Amino acid sequence: MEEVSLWELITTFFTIGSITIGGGPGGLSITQSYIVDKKKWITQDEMLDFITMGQSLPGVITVNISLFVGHKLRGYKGGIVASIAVILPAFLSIIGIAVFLRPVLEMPIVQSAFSGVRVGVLGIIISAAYRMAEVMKWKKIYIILGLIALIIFILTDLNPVSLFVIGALVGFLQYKKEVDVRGIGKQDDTN
Amino acid sequence: MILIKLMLDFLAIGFISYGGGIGMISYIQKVGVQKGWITLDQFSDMIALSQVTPGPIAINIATYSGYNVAGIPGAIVSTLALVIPSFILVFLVIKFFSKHMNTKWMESILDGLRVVVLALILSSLIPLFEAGFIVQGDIKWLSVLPLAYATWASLKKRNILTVLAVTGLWGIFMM
Repeated sequence: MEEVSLWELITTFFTIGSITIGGGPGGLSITQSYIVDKKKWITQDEMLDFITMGQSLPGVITVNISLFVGHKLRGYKGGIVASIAVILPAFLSIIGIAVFLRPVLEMPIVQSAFSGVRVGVLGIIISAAYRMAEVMKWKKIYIILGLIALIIFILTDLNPVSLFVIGALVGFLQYKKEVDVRGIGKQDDTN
Repeated sequence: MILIKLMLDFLAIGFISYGGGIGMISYIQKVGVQKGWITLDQFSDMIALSQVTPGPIAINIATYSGYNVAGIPGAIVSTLALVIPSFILVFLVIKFFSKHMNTKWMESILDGLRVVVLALILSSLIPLFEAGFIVQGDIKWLSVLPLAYATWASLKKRNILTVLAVTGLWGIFMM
């Protein structure tokens, strides 16, 4: 296959960043159809691997996936170029809003519209939390962990990092425990 | 100096925050409102605007918070700091671990993380409730109606523009 030019990486990922309005799962399927179907840069299977790995790492999922795809096409340079290009539209549009639209945002009628929209935003977040809870594994240990974390988050200003580390540790210990119970040890890794 | 502080905070967020858009921004809400980068009202407004602007919501919020603190240099620093940990983590995975990803132990760690992220999101709802329901010192109980509508519409994946328009009109005429 002919090598993809860096410029083509930039324009493609800039386009993806521009048309994924609102981000989220819809954005993922747009990225997928662009890279796999339209550009035919990577196969569907590779794309699914990149999406799974991108979601398993911390950070912005779109950025992670762009890094994987860019690296696959043009090495480390390609990864960096693709991920910067994909966030540029988001960055520029917010700068545009901050610089030019602030006076508009401060108009009384816009302010009262936003007082309603703030209630709508609550609904959007509640539904996102619900969808997340729906696909989670609800073992007893996780329910206890979740409740303790919730109480700490509500009552204190503790930086979330420490609890994230504890959550990861509990997850890992849970894995250890299950492996010990089944007694099949490390072979499990290959599943 | 303020730029270095901003950079360090967003590097930390980029390294550890997990769970996609809403999970990441709950983190920025928790830390950012506390440190005064962004007010709760601004934060809530930016979530709404992010539904109609291009790109990932976490980038939108990071850019806006950085701009609030230190103008365009602040926006550049916060946005880059948010994504640089991804460069490092993804390249490490490519170099060393790609065959160990998605194994049972990774998934189990993520299960534990997800629980904490969900708790963080739920706790972030309380201040947002206050920002939405308390207008100039008055509690607007009638707002449960647009809230119920917005929750239902988002769960049913209705067009988000309609949700913003309807709740915006409610704000103009009812609040």
